[in-house]
Amino acid sequence: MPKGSYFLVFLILALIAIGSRGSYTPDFYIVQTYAEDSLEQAAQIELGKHLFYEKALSRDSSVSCATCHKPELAFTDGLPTSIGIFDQVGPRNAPTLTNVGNRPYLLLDGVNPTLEKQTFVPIQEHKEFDFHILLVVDRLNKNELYVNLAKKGFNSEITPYVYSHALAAFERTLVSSHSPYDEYLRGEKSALSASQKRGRDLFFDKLYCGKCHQGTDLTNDALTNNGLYEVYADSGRMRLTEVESDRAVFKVPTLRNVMLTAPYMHDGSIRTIEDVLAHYKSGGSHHKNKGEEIVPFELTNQEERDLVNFFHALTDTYFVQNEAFRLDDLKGQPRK
Amino acid sequence: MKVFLFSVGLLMSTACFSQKDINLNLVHNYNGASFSYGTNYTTSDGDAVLFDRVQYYLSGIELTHDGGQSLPLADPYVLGSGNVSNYSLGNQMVSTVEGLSFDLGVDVTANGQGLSSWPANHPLAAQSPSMDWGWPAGYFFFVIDGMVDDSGDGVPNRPFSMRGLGDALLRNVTPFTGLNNSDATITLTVDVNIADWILGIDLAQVGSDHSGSPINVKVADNTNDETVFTMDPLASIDELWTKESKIYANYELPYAPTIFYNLATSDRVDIAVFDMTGKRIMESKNEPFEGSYFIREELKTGSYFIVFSNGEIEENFRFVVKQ
Ligand code: HEC
Ligand code: HEC
Repeated sequence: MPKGSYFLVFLILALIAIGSRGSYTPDFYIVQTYAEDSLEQAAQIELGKHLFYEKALSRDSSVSCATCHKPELAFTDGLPTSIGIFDQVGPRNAPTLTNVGNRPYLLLDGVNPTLEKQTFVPIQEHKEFDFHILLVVDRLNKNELYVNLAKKGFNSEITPYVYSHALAAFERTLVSSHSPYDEYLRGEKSALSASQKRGRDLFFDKLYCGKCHQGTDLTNDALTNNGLYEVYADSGRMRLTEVESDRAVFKVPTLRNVMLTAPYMHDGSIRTIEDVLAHYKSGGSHHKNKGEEIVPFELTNQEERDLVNFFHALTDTYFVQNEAFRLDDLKGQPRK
Repeated sequence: MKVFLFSVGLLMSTACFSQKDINLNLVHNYNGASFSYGTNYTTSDGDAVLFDRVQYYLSGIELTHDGGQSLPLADPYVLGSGNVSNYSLGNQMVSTVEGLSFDLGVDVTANGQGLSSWPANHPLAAQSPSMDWGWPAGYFFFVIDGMVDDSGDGVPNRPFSMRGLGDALLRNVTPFTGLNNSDATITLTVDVNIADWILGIDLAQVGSDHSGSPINVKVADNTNDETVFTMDPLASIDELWTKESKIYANYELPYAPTIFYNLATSDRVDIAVFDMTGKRIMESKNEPFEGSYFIREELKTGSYFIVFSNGEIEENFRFVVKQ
């Protein structure tokens, strides 16, 4: 195939990807109607879902994506930092994948540009799957179900392209828009209690939280620092850019389902939401890259309860229980 | 009328230029000595050094031909490997090649696309050992891995790994001009002096540096500053070396090693892998006489043999797999 055709194929597939992305509005019903709209897309998502739970992606077949991104914990793992194959402890906290399709860049320091590309990260990481994409593809091509889904979804055997695009297609369906706070935003004023409304006002108006954690996903996707330490063990975005202004700079995380995603921060160093508030109340440590919004403040006990109650209103029970994100045949199977 | 003009145009162009196979011959050497993996060389500081792996991308390859016309290649990518000399630049519409230019690294567009956009055997598709890194999503523009002696006993003992990442490392290699090659098959021979890439770098301090750090910037800068790539239009040092087979196992993936080889033959070879009982486990016919063979199979921990053969040679090499 001459070079021009690779580009053409790439372009067409890219356009399909962009086109399909546009049709995802933050509403979970989309997942179902989508499947009816296009059998091809449905097969891609179905394959992606199987791969997400597939332990054969890891060298010793002990770990899947879902080991660290568990649906019941809004796709986090409840650990300070993740544990990969051979029980190796990784350096970072697993982030939620709630509405991950909305993120303009990925990983805690935003160094990875797309969901498709991100799917190759766990394969290579020694402390995650510690494997090689070609050996992964060889394993997957031995699975009849996957080969059939790849044929339906991509008209291809399983290739690195199919692997990454199927997983990304599934991840884009991880849409949460049914928390009490979402209902409230849609005009259901009774969806929040009086205390939660006061917490909302504190978060967005009286305090400065909403300057960074803004919009319906409660993040502006900025890269900044929130003053956890004077000296960070993790250099953050600087690991890629090598510039001092990126030292210890991390992505502002979404706070959707935040009550399910403890422990908090890039290193999982803060155990509870109350401790997070204590951190911000203190104004944090001095760091040259710290966002200037972050200054000390005081809260009454009632105000603290109001804020925590507001965080509870960000939990989307429908999302974490959504059967569409799970595999039926996983029921009863021990999950690591 | 249009069709007529077009045909005339086509006739004229075929009259001036013929389709020719263009080959790129990258002669890897260490200050003029034949280069191979696992061989001891000496750094400019006098320390013993050996290399496990030297690989790099060339992109933006362009020929100047037939009166100064430029021809950017449609598929302008080469994955250079320390153990491989012969690369095809395809079949091109040229008569006389007058110049050659290329970049070290991968252009911004392709570096952003990632490995899954390419067909399986393309230089930018998934390689083993890997030529890409996931988290920043990009290719290693170069990989220079090996060991250096830091204890003064003449035995390389301290590993180093320099793998340049990031668009900022792309370097336009100073173009080669003044060529005049109109052979039936055109071979462009470029000498690649690996010693020049590591000049001014304290290898004992490198460790594992997979980034766009100052060390890797230095490697990239050395490409032109120290003239890693040179072209002698008259002769190549390659011809001064007697050829012997070189086989080397790269254990970056200890459970699935890659065998780098360069054989004392100029014909294609059959490759087979056997376990210690003599059972054949893998087989591949009609392969190039130099290249890398990925043990793309999940083998049990143990010793294995790889055999390269054609009518002329038969080479055996033992390697291990560690799950
Ligand atoms: C060993 C635990 C582990 C496994 C297995 C794992 N992840 Fe992750 N994941 C993490 C950690 C930790 C991070 C943050 C890493 C970083 O920032 O460098 C992360 C980050 C991500 C992100 C970025 C999210 C964001 O908002 O930036 C995505 C997407 C993701 N993982 C998807 C996957 C997929 C898909 C798989 C399976 C192919 C997978 N993960 C397997 C632990 C894991
Ligand atoms: C300057 C921007 C900024 C402001 C203002 C800000 N944050 Fe953050 N927040 C961040 C960043 C960046 C992180 C991630 C830090 C890390 O991982 O080390 C974060 C993390 C968090 C987390 C942990 C989320 C998780 O999943 O780990 C919570 C909870 C949080 N912030 C709540 C708040 C509250 C409450 C306020 C207001 C008092 C606030 N933030 C103000 C930038 C900000």
